[in-house]
Amino acid sequence: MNLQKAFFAETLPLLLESDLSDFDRVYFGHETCDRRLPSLKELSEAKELCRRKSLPFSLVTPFCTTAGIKKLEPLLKSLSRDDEVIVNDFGVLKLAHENSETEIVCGRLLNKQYRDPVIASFDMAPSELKEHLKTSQVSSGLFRELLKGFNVKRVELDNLLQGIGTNLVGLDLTASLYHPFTFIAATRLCLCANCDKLSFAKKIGIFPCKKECLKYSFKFEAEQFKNPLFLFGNALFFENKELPKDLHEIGIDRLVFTAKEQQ
Amino acid sequence: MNILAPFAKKSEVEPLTKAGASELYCGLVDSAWQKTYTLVSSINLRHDKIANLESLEELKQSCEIAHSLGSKVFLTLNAHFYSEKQLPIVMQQAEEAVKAGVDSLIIADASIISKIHKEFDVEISLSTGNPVFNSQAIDFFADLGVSRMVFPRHLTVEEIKELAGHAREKKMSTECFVLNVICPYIDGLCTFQHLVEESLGFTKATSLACRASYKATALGKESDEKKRIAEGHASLWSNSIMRDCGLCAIPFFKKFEVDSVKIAGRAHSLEKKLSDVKAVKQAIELTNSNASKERFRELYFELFHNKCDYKNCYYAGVGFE
Repeated sequence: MNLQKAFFAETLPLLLESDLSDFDRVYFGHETCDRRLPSLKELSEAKELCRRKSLPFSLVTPFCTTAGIKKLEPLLKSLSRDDEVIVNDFGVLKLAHENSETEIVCGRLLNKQYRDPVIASFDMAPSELKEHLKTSQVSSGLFRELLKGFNVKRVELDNLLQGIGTNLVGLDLTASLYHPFTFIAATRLCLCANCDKLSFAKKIGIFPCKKECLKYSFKFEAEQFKNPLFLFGNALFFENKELPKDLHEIGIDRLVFTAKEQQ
Repeated sequence: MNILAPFAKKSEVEPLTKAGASELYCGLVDSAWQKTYTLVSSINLRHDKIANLESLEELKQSCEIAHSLGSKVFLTLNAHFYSEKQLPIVMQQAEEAVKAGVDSLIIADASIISKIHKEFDVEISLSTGNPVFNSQAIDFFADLGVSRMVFPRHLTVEEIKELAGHAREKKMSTECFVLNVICPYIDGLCTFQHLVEESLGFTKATSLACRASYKATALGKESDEKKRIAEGHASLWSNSIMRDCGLCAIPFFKKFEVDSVKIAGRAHSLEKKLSDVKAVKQAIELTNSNASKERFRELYFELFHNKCDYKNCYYAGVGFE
């Protein structure tokens, strides 16, 4: 099994300026904010770049409000049969399945895992609990059956500090692993939105923004987090630079490199 | 408009119903589950023992009391997902709960919804552990067998209006949260552990990492002055206190024909639960009498002894704009 390497860019400028020579695929789009979905023009430029470089293309989609769905619909329609769409919302899964011939991938937000970094320190947990905390939703036959109904053949995983207990070998599904940032949580009460405006100093809520997340990200440090957390846009992550050694043995054939700190 | 309130003991059913709650929800973690998975991997998202009933018998008696007083009982089976090994235990609890008389099962894991829908004659209510933000998602869950859903707290009132209308077209009942615990992160998209048990080997018991005391450092190329402002904003949840409320949005929910308003807080004391039900009942009365927003603010002050604040507001578009 060959290990593919995908480069995940959330913005067109990052994609255009990046050296893609070490990569086999491009991920483009956003996982957690529908305001950050690309325009049709940006999508078309990203796809054109991939065509020139002979790189397969995956559109990454977030959980979407109805406004986000309206923006997403034409993007989905513009994809071709050879492209992929990464879905992180069951409404988007239904929409993509019914309106597009594109290959659908179950994104990491739909494949639930125990991601809190604190779990790695549960040394005295009962063995069955330890085993459970390494697993993910796709380990369940019922969830795989549900995905099969939508013709999903690939699922995505995060690199847990406590180890990965999901094994897809022999199950008609392949898996991607995100690296090096592991997702923890997402919000719509976004701390990046309007963050540099004094008039918003104490305001938190769902308000229009100027995509301040393109200018700022944050490192969060606290006594109860052993390592820093990172706020990229409306989502929190931790960094796990260490990759599991047995990727092929557990059915992972793609690494998705997230250059979030450069967006 | 119904009031959906939490309970964690059989003895709470009667006073809560008499205070005005016509719908009650609870969780049950039996001792075998707790021994194997502890409360870290709770069967129902509440990790604290005081938030859960202790036995099936207690659930059965709670249903009998509630039904005799004309109220309904919902049981939470809303872990974000269950493993292959956990599934038989979950299905058994669902079966036993239906036999015990529960009116509705609150479920998050999409994969077990259609199985439960096929096997048991019980209403399935979609938990906020699987949040719905668009009408296609409502259709997705309706196809699986969901006939009732709670909207995630991370929606604007305008967004709720549109989704409630769509849910109604699908003959689905709807609920909105109105009191306690607005999570900084979206329930179904948050994987922070709430309570970490010291017995698991973690050196310090901890809770609510999202509201811990933390230091935010801005990264990026902006000026230091801009970064300091941004850091202040990014620190808004640090050390924040939960006095969370969406009562002043109830008039909108009534207009949108939302069926029930929901109170969070299964682990709260009976005293707090009763004062919450009374406050929501009062907010519904204020709604019926077309009271001003100021009256809702006064109600908030009576309940929390503090002024409304953005950090405690479920629906800031209504509360502050």
